[in-house]
Amino acid sequence: MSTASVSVERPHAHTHELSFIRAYVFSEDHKVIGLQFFFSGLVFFLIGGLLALAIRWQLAWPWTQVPILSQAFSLTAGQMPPEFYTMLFTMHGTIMIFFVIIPMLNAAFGNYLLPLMIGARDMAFPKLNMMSYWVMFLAFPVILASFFVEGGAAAAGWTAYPPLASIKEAAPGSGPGQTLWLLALILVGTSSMMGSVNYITTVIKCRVKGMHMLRMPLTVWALFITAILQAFALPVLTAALFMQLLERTLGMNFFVPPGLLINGRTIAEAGGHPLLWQHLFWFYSHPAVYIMILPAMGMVSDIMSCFARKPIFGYKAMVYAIAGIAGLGFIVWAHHMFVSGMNPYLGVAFMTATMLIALPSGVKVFNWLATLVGGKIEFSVPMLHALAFVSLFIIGGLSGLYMAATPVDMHIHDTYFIVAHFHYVLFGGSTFAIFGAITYWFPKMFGRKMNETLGKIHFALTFIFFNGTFFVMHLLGIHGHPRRIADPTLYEFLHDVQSLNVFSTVCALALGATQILFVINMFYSLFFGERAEQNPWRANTLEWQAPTPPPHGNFPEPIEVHRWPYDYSKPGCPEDYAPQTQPLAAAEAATAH
Amino acid sequence: MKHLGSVLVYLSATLGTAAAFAGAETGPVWWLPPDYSTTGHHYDRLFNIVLYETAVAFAAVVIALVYFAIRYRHREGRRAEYDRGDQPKHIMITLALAMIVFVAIDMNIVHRSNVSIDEIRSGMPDPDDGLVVWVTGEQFNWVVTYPGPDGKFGTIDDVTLRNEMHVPVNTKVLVRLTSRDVIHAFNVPQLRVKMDAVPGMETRVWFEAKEPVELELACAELCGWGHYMMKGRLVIEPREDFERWLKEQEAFLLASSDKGAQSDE
Repeated sequence: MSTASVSVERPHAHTHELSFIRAYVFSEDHKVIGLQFFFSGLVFFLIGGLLALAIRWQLAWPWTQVPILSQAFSLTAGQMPPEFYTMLFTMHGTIMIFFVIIPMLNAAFGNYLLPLMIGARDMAFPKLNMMSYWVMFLAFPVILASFFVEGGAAAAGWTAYPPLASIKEAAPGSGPGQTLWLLALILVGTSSMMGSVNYITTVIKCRVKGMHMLRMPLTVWALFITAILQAFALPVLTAALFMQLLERTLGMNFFVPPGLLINGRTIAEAGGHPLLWQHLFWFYSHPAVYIMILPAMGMVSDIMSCFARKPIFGYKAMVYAIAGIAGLGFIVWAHHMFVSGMNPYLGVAFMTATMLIALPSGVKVFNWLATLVGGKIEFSVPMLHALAFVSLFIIGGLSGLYMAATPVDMHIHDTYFIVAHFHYVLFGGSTFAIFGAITYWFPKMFGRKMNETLGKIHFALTFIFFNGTFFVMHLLGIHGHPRRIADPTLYEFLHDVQSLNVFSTVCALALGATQILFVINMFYSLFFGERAEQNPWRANTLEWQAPTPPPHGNFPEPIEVHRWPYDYSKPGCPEDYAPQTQPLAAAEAATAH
Repeated sequence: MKHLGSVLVYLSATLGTAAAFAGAETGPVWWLPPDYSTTGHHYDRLFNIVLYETAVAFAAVVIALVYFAIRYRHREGRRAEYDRGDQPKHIMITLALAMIVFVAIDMNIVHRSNVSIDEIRSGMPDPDDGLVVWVTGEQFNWVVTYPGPDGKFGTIDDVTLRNEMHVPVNTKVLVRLTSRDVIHAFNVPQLRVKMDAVPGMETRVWFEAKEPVELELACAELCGWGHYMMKGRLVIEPREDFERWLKEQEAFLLASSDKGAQSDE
């Protein structure tokens, strides 16, 4: 390759220096874009986490002065106003889902890993990729500004049910705050859509020679199927968001029925239906649950195989299971609406469809367990997180059965049982997988290793305090504790369980404090960590065959893939791993299937 | 002994879970609230079935996970088995296990749910007979309306109260729900009753209380800043007490509307 010109086939193999702005700010390099998503995700993780701690404080000790925050409440003598509480949980949910978990898994790790893992030099559309970050970036000031507008940020729940969300008299946060919320989500959705298109095209068109579809690591499979899922589900959410936006700003009407009297204002001109929003919203937001868990499952599979030094058990079954979960995810949305007034016979169909998801999920759990059998398990920090993922995901998955069983759901719907359930899936599942992924790919991303001891302490404390915080929420919910109420002590029947609220809050505060360890470990290791070699975990996938950190264009030498990514401890191989680029040896051919 | 820490973590989590369930068994405080309805046992029985099935599944997975993690831990001089798990026998085992879980747990729950739903729904009283109460949600009150002496809703003698509902014991009560503004949800955990009150449409729920008791009526769907204090009193009392109470309300209403009529003249 000449140094003077840029060839057509390898447009990113620049050898000349890019300016700082082109290299690190408006970069077209998938790795830089991935890191941009990564660091903004961490910042929002901090914001979302602090909101959660304020929620927990209010629930344990209602109306007492919240440390630090209380100074902002001069009108109420330092007490948290109830409308502030509704804003807290609305924004906590919104930020954690749309600004942390989805971007962290799909945009940060997706961008960083996907081209590397399939041996591509970059994404199929690098400019579109750059744009996907900068469209997302526009959403940051919008969502942050919404905290400071009149009435405060959105306060109608992350589900934004009309009429509460769409009539500005209905709640203080349903003024400009809700409009900004809708705009921010439209921007986030647009960004995700750009990412999806890019991932799908990249996987189909940009695989390196020898990388057949069935030689792709499960992380790539999961990201690929998730991208397809997003591409089908997101337009529905975006349309619904636009409909609510038009309803709020241009006087159109989709979700508000006629004749309402809200906070002194009669809404006569309307003619919509509130359930329409719920159907549209959940048609996206149930698949969104899988958008938040499937990539985590893929990463956990790769991490488990690497540290068990064994092939993943039932690779094809795992791929079909991911596809099965994604497909079924489209026909279960109404299980969020069993008490919404929807025709109850619809509920029966949705309950059965929901139960079907247990099949592919069961296959995955069984295969993860079977991957451990006969292995040589190293309890590294990423592996601990992967094992925790399996054990916590199973709790979140099984507690889903309570909701799928319609009569049981009647009792636990909109109680803390639901809160417990989705935190087991999204914190116990997705977030543990994110921690695992960070510790696993950190050496590749930054060229240094994270501190092992600190990592293990952080893991153990997070595991304990996570369960302390969220397990008791099952009991609160079983007792009937409604979600989203600012003061549980107002209800006599909840007096019995208030001690659980206090216990949960104490654990949550400890859980929050534990994360300081992670931040310290990350930033210390970023600058002073032990230097990592090219392939510190002795892993097979292609990203570990690239230099550390990978240069622009990823692979300085052309590579070719000769095998699947799970040849760990293969008989006939001298090492207990065989990178995908390593040609099959004669000794292996005899044992090959 | 690198694995020891993680093993301890898993053991403590398992023991903690067991302790939580054991604690729940001994004291009634941290479990399902007392049930005063004639239909609540459907919900509770199904809840217990789901609980036992999921507890078994959870225990099986966690025991296997912890056992495999210890049994197959890293030890020098041993090589992991190269097992791709893609042989027909593996696929058969995987599918067989999945089918067992699916049929034994899932289909069982689906079947029992359907039976319960049918039983509960078939008991729903007709709006023309039995006690019918209209409950309208508004920020942040429950507006409870009885038909009054003429037995018809929407007439001048309707009895309307805020945040107070009385019903007779051992009587089927049909609650017709709607909302004046945003979505609310009519929720009485001790009667296992929950249904959204949606503006622009009617939803229905019914219950029959089996003993006199005073309960709290909560709102289970976020309805604004005052959601937490949208609370009503639900008094379940002997039929004669209920009828006396209703007469008093009707008399009070009549007296006040007479006064109003006089002052108009």
